[in-house]
Amino acid sequence: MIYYPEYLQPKTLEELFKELPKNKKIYYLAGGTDLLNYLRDELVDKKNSCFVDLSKIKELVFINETNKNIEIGSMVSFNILQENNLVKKHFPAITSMCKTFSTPIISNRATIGGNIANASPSGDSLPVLYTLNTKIEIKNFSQTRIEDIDKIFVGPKKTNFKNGDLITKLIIPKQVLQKGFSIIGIFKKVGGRKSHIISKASIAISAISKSDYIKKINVAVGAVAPTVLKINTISEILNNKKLNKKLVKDSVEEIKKVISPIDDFRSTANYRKEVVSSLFLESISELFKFNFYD
Amino acid sequence: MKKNLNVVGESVLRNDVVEKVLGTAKYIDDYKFDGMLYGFTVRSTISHGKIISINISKAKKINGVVNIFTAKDIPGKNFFPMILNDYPFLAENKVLFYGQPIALVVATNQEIAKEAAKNVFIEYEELEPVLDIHYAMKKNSPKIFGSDNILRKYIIKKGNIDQGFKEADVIVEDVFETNYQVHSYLEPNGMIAVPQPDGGITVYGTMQCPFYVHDAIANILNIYHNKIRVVQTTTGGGFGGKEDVPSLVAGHVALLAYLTKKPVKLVYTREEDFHGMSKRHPGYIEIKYGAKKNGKIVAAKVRYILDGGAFATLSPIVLWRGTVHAVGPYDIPNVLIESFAVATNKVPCGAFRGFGQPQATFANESLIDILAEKLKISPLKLRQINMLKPYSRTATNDKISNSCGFKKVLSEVIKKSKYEKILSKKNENLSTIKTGAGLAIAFYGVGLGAGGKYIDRAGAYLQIQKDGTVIISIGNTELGQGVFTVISQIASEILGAPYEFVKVLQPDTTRVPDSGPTVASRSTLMSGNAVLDAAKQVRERIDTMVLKLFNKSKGKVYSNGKEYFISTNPEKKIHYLEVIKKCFVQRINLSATGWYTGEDVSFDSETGQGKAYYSYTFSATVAIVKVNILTGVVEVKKIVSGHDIGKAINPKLCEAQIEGGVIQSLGYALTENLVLKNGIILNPSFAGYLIPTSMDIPEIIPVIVESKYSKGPFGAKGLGESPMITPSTAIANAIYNATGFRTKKLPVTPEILLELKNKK
Repeated sequence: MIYYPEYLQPKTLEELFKELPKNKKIYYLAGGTDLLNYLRDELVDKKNSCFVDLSKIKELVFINETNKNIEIGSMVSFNILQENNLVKKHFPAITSMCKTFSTPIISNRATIGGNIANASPSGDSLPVLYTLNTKIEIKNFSQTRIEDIDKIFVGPKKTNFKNGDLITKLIIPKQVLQKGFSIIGIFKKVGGRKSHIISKASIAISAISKSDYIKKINVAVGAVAPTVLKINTISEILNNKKLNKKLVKDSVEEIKKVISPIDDFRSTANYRKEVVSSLFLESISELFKFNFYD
Repeated sequence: MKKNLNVVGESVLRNDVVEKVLGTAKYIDDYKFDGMLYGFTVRSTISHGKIISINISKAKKINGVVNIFTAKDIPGKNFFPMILNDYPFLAENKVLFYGQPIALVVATNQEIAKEAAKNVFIEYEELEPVLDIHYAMKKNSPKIFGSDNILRKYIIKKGNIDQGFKEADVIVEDVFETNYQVHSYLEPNGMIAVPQPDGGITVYGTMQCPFYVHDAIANILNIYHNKIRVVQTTTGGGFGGKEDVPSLVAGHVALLAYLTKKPVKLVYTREEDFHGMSKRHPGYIEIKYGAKKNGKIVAAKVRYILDGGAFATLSPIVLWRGTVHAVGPYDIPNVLIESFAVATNKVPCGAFRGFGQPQATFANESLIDILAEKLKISPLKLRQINMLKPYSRTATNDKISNSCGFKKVLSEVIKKSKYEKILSKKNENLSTIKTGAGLAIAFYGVGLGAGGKYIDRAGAYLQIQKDGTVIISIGNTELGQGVFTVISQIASEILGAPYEFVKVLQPDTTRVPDSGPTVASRSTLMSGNAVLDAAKQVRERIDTMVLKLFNKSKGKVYSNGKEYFISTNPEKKIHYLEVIKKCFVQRINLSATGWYTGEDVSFDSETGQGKAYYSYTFSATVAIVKVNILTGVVEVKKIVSGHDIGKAINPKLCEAQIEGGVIQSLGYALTENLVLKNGIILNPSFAGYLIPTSMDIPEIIPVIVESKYSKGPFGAKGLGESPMITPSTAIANAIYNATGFRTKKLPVTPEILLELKNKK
């Protein structure tokens, strides 16, 4: 027999949780840019699954400013994210990431919530969201909880989510800037070609700085460990410091300590190890307009 | 100077462009027939083993499954005819590669057929797979072909190799390797077979070579050729990947239709196409040059091995072309080339644009740069000293004819790329982005050459209809290369009929005699000449009518593309349509068949000497790259690629061919990396196997040089493959110039570059 997943297309969150079947594995269909491939590649137990199409739920598409945060609905596409002025102003690393994200066609469909839920260590938005101390709002029936982004991933393509957990929004704290300071951010990746590519390694940096003085910095790396990693020791080294070559070198050492890349058909562990350091050097040099290479 | 051609040499609009751009063109998966069933292939899930049993009982019970067939259901012969005839349509008692077809499911829809194929259970006794060419050639390895795993070997001996190296002042040698390349045509392989009331069968599909398919169906069904009709549908790219293996698909679908007596569609998924269909051979090349201090190369020795995969298919002939060209486009007095195509338990490799030459070119055009550095002569100068020119001799001792614009190709490419300036520019030490320039040159024997001599002919049928429109049938296929446009231009030019009036019909084996395959950059030359032949016969009859209308008994008739006139009174003109009308009333035959056979060629199997090809094209490419030495990422900034093709019948199409070849070659050089483990492809999709995107494509400057071939239509030779041969090596040489890292493997991945950097 040929089976197909059950399919729901609710118009509101209320409707969604009313209709959600309890005896099936729930797959939320956002942009579908990953999920439909899994379906085609037979990675979904079709007989016992339910696809819940989120495309009609308007309340999941928004970008709002509150007192302390910017809140982003989980169904916001990468194209919307890239064009948004609030995002550009507060989180330059996100805008930087959107520019290298896949292709315009994929960016039109792919959503920020989907990228998180897919939980790939090479998911491009994740390192950026790590550097911004993003919190994730998750709903399941009548329950709502909020988790730090770096707490939800337990391995490649694995989250701690229970069946039916739905990411509804991202809450990203705005930074309070003292006079003369600005928020800077960057995302870099290296892949097998220039666009439409899954990263071999990636890095995100978000910082508050004034010239070469760093008030606060966060660095996260992707595709070099089972999950994205935020490297807190770099923050310890660089926070409240005037940047210099020695500190940058020490930071690179911290990256090497924590990563555990693998060999696969896309690349090698050795390359990933080396190139993620290179990406850090390039990013720091670009952000602070100084050559930290040697 | 007065233009003496009306439409040949003009960049007229392609005659298949409208339906392709609008999306109304019908590819094989767009066709449906009444009561049509769907096939799916059951494939080997191991690389090497014996088949113990095939259990179809569970699959057969699935609702919608019509039947499941295996080798024992084949009424005819269980191999598709291709050189060594070793590739069975369906495996009988052993499998030699992962993905080899074992059984065929036919069902009421594709999904059911696929599901049923998963439920066919095959029990194997696994055997040690032979995965490496060097191991395959060892005495103690398992033998999967003959007694030595060698599918074919060649030798070319010219002069005295030992003496040659003795005379040399400088000797360089090295080993180069290239990986697979996947054709990545947009349309995967697929066919539909429709049984006919007379017991015959008609097959429609995406293919390069309808006549190969024709032979294959006769073989599997054991029916006469005159009961089989093969029609090529609009084809979404081939690049050699639809040369031989569509015979397999067609054989399968014909079998299903024949046994079920229903139309059947068999269209591959992309993954199946990756696992089962042909690839460019991985190449292994040991190469050695010996030169005098002044740069003159006096000796060249090559040992060239291709990884043929599990069955021979086209390997012998791919190897032959590669062998003939293996020392590069140079006049070298002493040559020894030994070459082997070796069987391994991996996907069978076959034709791919360039046909054994890109691999060999990577070796010889890298080594020539290494030699230049050792001699302290510029890479350009060293090539100029040694390159082929009219009357010089190739490795097979074939004399180069007057149709050799090599010198001009090279000088134009050098000039347009500013090669020498970039080559000698020093990169700043501190910068992590290094710029470099690289050059590679090649020659290319047009057509099948001595390796395919007996199938090197082409037929054509041409008819002017009542209203003056023209229909033409040829035996070569339109794959996107634009041959229908070129053929229309040639016919229009000869007939004096407006280009818009000419239509080339869908290729169909019942319309023209076997015209050989659509490969080897041969269609413009072969079908062009066949159409030329037919059109000239009809034009003669038209001219007689024109003279009659002018009340002349003799004289030369001219055309301006829509009207005829004679030289004694050029002001007076008669319209084409008027003449055609008169011809019809007077019962003049305005149809003709045309025929062309290639000039004689030869190859001595003992010495490898002879006239390997009747004509050669010549090419040169310069690549300008930027290399990020922190990440190993290479960005190609510009490519200038020049080709002497005899005559550009349609210059814009030629430029597009060059651009396409350059891009495919760029992918071969940098991004396209097929990864196998235990003989199984790990990245059988476009998410894992990376062809260049528009963002990866540099500025491309195509250069066309026209050094006419006396036997070609309007002097044309051929172009399809030439642009694929040199760019990848030009890129590798540019990377060396930029970084000092000499890459001896294609593709040049960032992983390899950083490894080289760390070794330094």
